[in-house]
Amino acid sequence: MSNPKSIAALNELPEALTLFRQKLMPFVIDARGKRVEADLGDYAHIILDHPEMQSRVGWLEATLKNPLEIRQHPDRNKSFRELYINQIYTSEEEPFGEWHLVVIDARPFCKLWTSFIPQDESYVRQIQKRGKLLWTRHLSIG
Amino acid sequence: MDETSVYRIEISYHRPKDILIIHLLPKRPARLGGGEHDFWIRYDWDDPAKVVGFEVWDFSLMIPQIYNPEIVPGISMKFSMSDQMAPTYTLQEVLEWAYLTFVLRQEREALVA
Repeated sequence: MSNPKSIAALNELPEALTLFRQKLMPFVIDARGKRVEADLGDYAHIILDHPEMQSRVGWLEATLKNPLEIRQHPDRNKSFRELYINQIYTSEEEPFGEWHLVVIDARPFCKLWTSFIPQDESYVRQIQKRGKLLWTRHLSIG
Repeated sequence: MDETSVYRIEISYHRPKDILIIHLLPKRPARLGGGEHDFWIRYDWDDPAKVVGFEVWDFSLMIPQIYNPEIVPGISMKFSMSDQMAPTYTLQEVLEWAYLTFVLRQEREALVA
């Protein structure tokens, strides 16, 4: 059963690599029960090249394990990409979550590809409108 | 964003993912905007109107379309890849340089090897 709200605290910067190894490598079991693989190349790209993610390693695990939705990339040439859409709260008391997306490459097995925090809701709404729904948290809460 | 300034940049390319990232220095936390054609603009976390970088997904597939303003928006900023005396480049020129350096040159070296 999924949790109703994704809560993931910020981490200290020196903890990033250790947390990435602990939480994501060599794989995470996602909300659907699928194995999503991650390696140090993903760390180099997602964490080292995105300063905003260096204190948000736990967000990757939270979004893979408990997203609001998983949708197929709307471009049919990229239908092998799947987007995990989530709102993350850094504490139970926080009233407004931050949108967070994780993208995996599901060709031929599920592999972490990238992750980002959108500037506003417009991209999320576009994906929700055009991307095929693969999984939603609302249907899985029992 | 001051269009007369020259911005020093750092470029990284992740070959297995085919993702190119351009950071205006110093690197800063950012949120991503745009993205309709997998071309993203990195906006400063604390100043959402300020551009602090770019990110291109499936970079090698996008190269033929970098002069299409519907794919890569017209940005009049100028960039420098090394010290202040170095030549300055448009965004499209930076993307072409990155393609030559990270994609074509490595493909050619792999063929020779």
